Amino acid sequence: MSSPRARRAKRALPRPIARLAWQRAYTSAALMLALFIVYVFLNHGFGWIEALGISNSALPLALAAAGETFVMLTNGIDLSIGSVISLSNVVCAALGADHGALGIIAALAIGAAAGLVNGLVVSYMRIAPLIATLATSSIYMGIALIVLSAPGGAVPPWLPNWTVGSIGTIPVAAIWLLVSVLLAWIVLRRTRFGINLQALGGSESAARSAGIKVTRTRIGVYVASGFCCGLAGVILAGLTQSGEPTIGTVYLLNAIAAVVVGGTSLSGGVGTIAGSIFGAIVLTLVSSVLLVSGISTNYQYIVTGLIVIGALLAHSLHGRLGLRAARRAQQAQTGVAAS
Amino acid sequence: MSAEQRSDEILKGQDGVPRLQARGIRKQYGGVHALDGADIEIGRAEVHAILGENGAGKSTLVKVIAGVVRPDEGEVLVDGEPLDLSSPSASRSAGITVVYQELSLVPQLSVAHNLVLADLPRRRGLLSLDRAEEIAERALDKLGLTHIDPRAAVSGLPLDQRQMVEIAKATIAESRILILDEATSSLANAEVERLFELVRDLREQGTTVVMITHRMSEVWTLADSMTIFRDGRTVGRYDVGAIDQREAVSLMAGRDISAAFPAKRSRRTGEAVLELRDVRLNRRQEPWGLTLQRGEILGLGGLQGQGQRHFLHWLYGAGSGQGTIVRNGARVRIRRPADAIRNGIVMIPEDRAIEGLHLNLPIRWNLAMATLRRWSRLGVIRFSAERQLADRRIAQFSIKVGAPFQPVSALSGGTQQKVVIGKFMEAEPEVVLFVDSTRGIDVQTKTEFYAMLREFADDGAACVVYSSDTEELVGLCDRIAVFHDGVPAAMLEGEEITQDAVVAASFAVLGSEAA
Repeated sequence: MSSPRARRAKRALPRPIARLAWQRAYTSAALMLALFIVYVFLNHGFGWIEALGISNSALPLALAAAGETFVMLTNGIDLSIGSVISLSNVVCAALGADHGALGIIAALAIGAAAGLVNGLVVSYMRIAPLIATLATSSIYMGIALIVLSAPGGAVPPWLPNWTVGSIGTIPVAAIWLLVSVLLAWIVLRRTRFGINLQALGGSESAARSAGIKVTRTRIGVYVASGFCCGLAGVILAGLTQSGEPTIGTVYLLNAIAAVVVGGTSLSGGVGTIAGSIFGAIVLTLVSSVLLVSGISTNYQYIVTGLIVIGALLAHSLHGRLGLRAARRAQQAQTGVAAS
Repeated sequence: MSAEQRSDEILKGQDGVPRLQARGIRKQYGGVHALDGADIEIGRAEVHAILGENGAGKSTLVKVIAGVVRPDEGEVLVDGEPLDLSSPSASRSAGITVVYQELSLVPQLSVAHNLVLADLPRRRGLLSLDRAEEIAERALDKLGLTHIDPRAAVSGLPLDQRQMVEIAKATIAESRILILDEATSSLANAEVERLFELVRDLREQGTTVVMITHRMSEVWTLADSMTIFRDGRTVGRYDVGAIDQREAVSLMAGRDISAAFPAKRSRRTGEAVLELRDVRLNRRQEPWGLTLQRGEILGLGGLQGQGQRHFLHWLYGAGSGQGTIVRNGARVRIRRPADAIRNGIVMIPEDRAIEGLHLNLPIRWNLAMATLRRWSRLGVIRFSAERQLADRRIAQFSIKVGAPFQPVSALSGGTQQKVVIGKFMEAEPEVVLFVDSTRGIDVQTKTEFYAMLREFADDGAACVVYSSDTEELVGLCDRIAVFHDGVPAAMLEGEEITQDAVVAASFAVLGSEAA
């Protein structure tokens, strides 16, 4: 009864729940492909200019969504991502003209530092993440306005090539998107930090009793979020070749929407960063589709809202089907064991 | 002074310092002393049981040793070295592993992930899934758990399998001290047997095993010695040979306890409270029927996982299945628990943390939760009625509380279960479903609980009891339906009910199936 072969045979059985997170990422990837096809159809083709435009607007959102996913996987939420993007953006532009690469490093460092402050406030002052990051968001926004009170500044001339340019016909931003998906996969599935943060999101008490340093992991999650936003701020600086103290504001709600579309559960523990990146591309494609079909972009918000609700429905349907299949598989197994 | 309460027994097989020592541990929650001067001394390669009633402080002591709960006073020594009690990782690195009563697995992660969570195997800095699965498989095989797939999500496993995974997890860390906190309470006999073998092996290898259990027979089967707790204090340390079960129970309770089970009723009216017809819990099975009689206690027996739980969940409107439910001659539809409660059916759930209680809310609110409608007028809750209700139940079940407004999470496990039962009893049910409700409850409370059940039955209710403890079914029930594959395949009644008969029937129904 206990031969390794028996176990290997059982391994062939579907394990829907374990795969649920990835299935949800597939759902958002499928949605992304469908929208892409619609776009190509309406646009009568797809050239490098379109590819460049979509990649460039998707990349900052994807980074913000990736950062938010770290936090949401641990049951938290980071409402400061918009402000952190703005802050990093203006730091990059304010230092960029004179100090070049130093400005970029400073922008990334300040993003991570802002995340560290969020993590410390949430962990040590025991303030709920929603309130803590709402408060720090306001503070970061204020600092951004002090650093650069009006749009302006400059970036090193080579920065756009590295962020929003293209190599031949391939947009650099598309390469970064691909790299992000791969990196995200490695972090979540193959690093101690990634496993720990998912354990924390699934059950804090279980994580604690397994000896996971819960506080450190939680702080790390906010730092990761801040760093991703720092990257997004730098990319935006490369795109506009200047700084703008309110540029991040629109990214907060869109990033959360992208995370939800990507299949990350709001109750923590289940989700993928890759899904969130697909979700960000989905939201970008929505506005592109509206643009080429001649519908006023004023409708964009309504369509985005509908897409989020639709994606949630699809995920919950998926979940229910998955659970049913799991139960059936289990019944089959116990049936085997009983006879 | 606490040292005076310590037993003068000489530690068995000792060549010097004891492996584990706790001295004068005190811990207070709200106004309640969970621990009030607890002392233990356990030797190397010793299997030691910690006995005590609900709320005697056993679980708190374990949590102190594990570094999860910080004591107000006292110290713990491992091999004579003081243990840093500030974090779980300190205890872990001192070689202490705990299998908790409340499961500590992350449901969303796979079995393999959970097993290696404390020490992720890495190759070139990244987690190696292959190694993780290999380690998991080895640990599972050691316990004979070949039917558990290391890659399956824990959330998809039934409770008893999760418990075994939990134990497997504890064996991976090669620990000096393994603490089993109610590890057997949700396990079937075969699994308990495997666990015992494991414990004996570990003792051979020099590991100290501390077990907390309410199954007295396990202590006398497995343990070398025991420490008895009462009201957060150590009563004494005893060798297993030195006292018998009855003495131990009276030491725990502080008085003598007579028979645990109330007398069965000689006559039953036979009047039906609920009639179940054409029941099919899944599509594969033939429809079957069952009648619940007024005044009876019906037990659901059989091997673990033969659909007993599923049946009760279905009847309570919380599980899949189909069938006709007739109450007082009229057909009723039960599609959700609210329908069941309205029709006089309540269920005392097994996993109190998930299904039964709102842990962060006060005891008082929890007690009133199921019957809010009755305590409110025009949707506004009448506080005086609610308070009376809570006070009455707290007195009736001798629930040990600091104040009725304490959150339930501050109570011990057994006490929490009392709150669950108190809450549902307030609905004055006609049919009470018990799903392994005495899991993790001490002898004293169990006795009270059995008497209460009998009282309900005598008042005209029908009690349906599913228990993984066959002894309990035999002692308590008027009829026992032995389940196989979701169907009550045999019915034992009156004189036919003996431990042997139930076990025989559990296997006989399997035999006839195979033939």
